[in-house]
Amino acid sequence: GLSAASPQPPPRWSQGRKRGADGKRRKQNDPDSSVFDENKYRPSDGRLDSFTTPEGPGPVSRCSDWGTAVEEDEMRTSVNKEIARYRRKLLINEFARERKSSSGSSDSKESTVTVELETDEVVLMRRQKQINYGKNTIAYDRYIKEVPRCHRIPGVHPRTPNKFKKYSRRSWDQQIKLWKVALHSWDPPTEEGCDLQEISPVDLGEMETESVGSNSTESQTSCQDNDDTCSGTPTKVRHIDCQAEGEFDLEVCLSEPLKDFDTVS
Amino acid sequence: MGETGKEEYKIQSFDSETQKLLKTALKGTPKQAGHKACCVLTAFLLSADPSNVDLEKVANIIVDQSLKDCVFSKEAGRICYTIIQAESKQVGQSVFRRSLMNRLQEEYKDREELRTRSLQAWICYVTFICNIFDYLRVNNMPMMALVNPVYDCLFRLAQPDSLRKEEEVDCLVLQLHRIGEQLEKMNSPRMDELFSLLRDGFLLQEGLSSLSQLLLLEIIEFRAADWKMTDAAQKYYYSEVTD
Repeated sequence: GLSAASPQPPPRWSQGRKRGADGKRRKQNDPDSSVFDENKYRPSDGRLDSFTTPEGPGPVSRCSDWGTAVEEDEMRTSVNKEIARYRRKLLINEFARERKSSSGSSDSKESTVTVELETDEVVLMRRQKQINYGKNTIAYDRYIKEVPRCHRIPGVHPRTPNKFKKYSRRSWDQQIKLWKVALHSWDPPTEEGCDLQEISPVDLGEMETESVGSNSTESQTSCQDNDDTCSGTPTKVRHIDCQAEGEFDLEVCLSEPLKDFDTVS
Repeated sequence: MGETGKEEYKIQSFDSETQKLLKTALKGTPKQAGHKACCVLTAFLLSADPSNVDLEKVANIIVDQSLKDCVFSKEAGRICYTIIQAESKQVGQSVFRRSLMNRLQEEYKDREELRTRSLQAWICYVTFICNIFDYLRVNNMPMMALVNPVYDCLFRLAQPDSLRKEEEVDCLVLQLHRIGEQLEKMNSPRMDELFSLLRDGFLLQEGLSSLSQLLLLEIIEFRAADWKMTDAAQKYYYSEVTD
């Protein structure tokens, strides 16, 4: 859900809120308007430039650029899937731990109280974007290629901050900073002006499998369902490494008998 | 950019698995439409640096072609879907999708002009955007960003001046058959509004051809039957008349 207004004036970081305390959508010219605002132009027909639908999953960013709207949509749905998945994992771990402790003696085991998770969509999306910036680097690619997640040593190898845990804004930003600094150890050997460090961050293909599961108790299970880190070349470097894999002869393909293409709904 | 004699072209930056996918997508396109589109793609790709396909340009080519060729615009969704999957898998980017969306949006903004300039191109555009909405999914859900624009286009088709044109009525009912149910799930009130217009149109619109009347009646019944074809409707609208 979206955060409710606090009694003090909202800190800068919370100005991603789409609604005021009364639940009404914030107007476009609201001084506290969304950090997602990318309005370069108003639509000439004067419609609101948002695409909230009553049955939809919630307010969509106010940007009037379809390309960006789709990308944010994708990020939002991915984040929602991830949080569901993360919750299930926590539940499973909790269950497993309870079973162990009930069969043995009950000494000072870690409390299995359900921890409060960060669920504010705005916060999660912001954190995800920050993570994406860090992951869309050559350093990160080299890192995951070199050190599969199952071989990571806690404390030695950088670990992606867990966006679902509750942290203050400062704490989170600091974690991200330290993480990115740590990743620099995997920067490619410097040639003249290696300026491809930060590519534009749209690697959502990896999100599902990689960003969840930075909790140490999950490192076992998460390795199995993550193809990327434990095998094969990360997708981003593949196109640099591989040469042309042969040509695509359209003439041949057009002359072959037609087959059904039925993998789409 | 003229047409070339050869139909051979190369997409070297995609791996063989992706090439297979693209191959299948293009094969599935009716040969006539596919041929033209591929010639256009060929001409472009041959002139470009083969190791680096400019996906933004590809997106533009596809949109351009869709506006000219209604058969292609029905199939373009599938081709776009394939390219998007390929790009996402191969390089983890979405340059093509972004370019496609933005181009779609440009045309949408000027749709009234488009319709004035060329009825055919306008019909192609509506077919295209509906096809895209049908095929392109975001994490298995339809694209939210397209819901209202698609509705806007359909509402335009339900205006009196459009109802008087058979080709526009035909386009309208065709799209509703294909994506009506999904569209309604995304925004039910707007669908109610649209059908209000259609009922009014059916009853009150002057200058409606009998074919148009038939098409409107059929779609009204179709939706009333929860977007399904009933046996009675099938019999009435689609069976051969036996005398």
